[in-house]
Amino acid sequence: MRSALAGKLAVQLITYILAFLFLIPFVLFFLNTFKDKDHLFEIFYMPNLLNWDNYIRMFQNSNFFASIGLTITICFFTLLFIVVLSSMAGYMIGRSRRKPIRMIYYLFAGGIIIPTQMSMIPVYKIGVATHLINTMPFLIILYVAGGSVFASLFYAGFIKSIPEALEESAFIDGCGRFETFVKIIFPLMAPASATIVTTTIYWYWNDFSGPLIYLNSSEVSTLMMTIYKFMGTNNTVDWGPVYALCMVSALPMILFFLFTQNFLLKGLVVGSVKG
Amino acid sequence: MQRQTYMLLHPLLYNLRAGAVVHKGIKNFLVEILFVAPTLLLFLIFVIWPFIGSLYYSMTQWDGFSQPVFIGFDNFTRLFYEESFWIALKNTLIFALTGLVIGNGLSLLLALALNRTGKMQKVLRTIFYLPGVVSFITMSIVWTLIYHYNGSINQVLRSLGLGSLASEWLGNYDTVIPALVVIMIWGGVGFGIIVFLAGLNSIPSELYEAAQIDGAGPVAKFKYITFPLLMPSITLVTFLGLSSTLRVFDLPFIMTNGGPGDASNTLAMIIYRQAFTYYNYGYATAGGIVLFLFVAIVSLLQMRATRSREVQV
Repeated sequence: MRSALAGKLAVQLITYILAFLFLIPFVLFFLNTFKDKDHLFEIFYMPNLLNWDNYIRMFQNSNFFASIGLTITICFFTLLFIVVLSSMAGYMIGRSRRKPIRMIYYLFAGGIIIPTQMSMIPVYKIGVATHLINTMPFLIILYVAGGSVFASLFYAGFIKSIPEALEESAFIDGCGRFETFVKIIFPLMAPASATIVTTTIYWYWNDFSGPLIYLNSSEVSTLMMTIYKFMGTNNTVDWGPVYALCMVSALPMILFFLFTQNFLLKGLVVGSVKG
Repeated sequence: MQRQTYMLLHPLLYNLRAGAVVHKGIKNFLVEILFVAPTLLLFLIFVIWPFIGSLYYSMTQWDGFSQPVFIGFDNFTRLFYEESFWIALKNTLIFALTGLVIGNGLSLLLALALNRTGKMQKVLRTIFYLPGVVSFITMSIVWTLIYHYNGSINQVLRSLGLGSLASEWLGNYDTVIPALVVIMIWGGVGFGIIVFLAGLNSIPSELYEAAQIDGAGPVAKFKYITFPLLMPSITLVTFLGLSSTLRVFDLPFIMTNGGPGDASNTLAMIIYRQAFTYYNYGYATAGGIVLFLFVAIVSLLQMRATRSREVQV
């Protein structure tokens, strides 16, 4: 019994050490936002946490508020359209008795393995041809097109855990199919919607290559592009404000994660079906 | 008994069952089409059409402005003769395999460890997931200072009197790949942990109780209960992990730009550079096709390997 206990303690100890190691980059990240440029590289240097100089200079020199506005707008509309469109599609793909509709599942599943880099150039051409390149709606459309494939499959699976009897009684009561969806199915699929939002918002918030290619020369850039551009003009001189910008860009997502992490874990098992 | 299904991914993961409510007639069919139409249209325009387009462009010489000139398989031959292509392919594979073995292995071990930690589980889970919430660009800025010649690692080494081990971690041919792999694992382990924890939670405890009565030890329990029942989670994590590491772009692009030399170049970066720096669209698209085939083959192999080991309770 003693060796089992020792083993358990050893496992715990290793886990805590690893957790500590995982946190180190965050601690450095946080402290660096307060360091002046002479001490930035010194990891054993404790900066004055009341010195907000880097933050002040960052707010003065970057277009932070416009960028975060743009990023929030992109995330909001992307997720809104993904949830609305793919819940509709997923519902039908999972419920329909018609083969052509059900086969879309396989079509979408195959589509997932197409790397974005492969379609990059033709998509760019579509953007140029429609004059939508370097506009926010184009990036949102691309995100919705890519994200709703994945989300539709998720909804198509989730719908299996909702009893069909609910729909049947709605039909008997004279509810149309669209009405049934809006009033009964969509609210019941809320956990799936929550999972989609809480797992994928980070992709859109943090995406770099999307704006790099399709939203590069616009006046206002997304947060990630702002960091990238700010780095280009600033890094050889001074990293402090760059760190501050990274921190204020990451903070909304860190907070979002802390408040929604329970959904994330539940969402992954909530779709379990009796089998 | 509850069977956990990750509905989200692959037809292989999930059996399609037809619904029971019958809606006959052409009108109902049209309604069903209306439900799927927006998503399907977007998919056809922005995923399938570009896919078909790139099959054609890959066989052309094309700068993106003038008319594409059909040249057959020349782009592919040229690609296969290029040394940097093979280096990029090798690097991409290394990223994928180390992510697969070390990353997923670590996720699994940590999930098993966290599964027993009780109250502290939530805190630890949060810490391990946190890097996944931060963008690649932020990660690369933080880690640049860690790996820098005057950065954190070297300072620690020097203060321990091990200054001779100090190195320019990202500027060195031998250390640049491991250095990037560390960041990728740091950023990706959390997702695996969450999925594995969800999987572990769904294993019925009666199975362990029965095994206990039969006198099974911890190793036997892991081998005959935990591991087989966790296989759907393993399929999911490896599939998602592979498809993202095979396309790795952001991290090496920002941190090393493929350097030193081609030492950290990846397929996705070659494609990007050929397309948007040199305007060799046809050539870049051929690279895209190779990447697609590569991802498809590896994903299928992985699916076959893990799916065949899944069991149903």
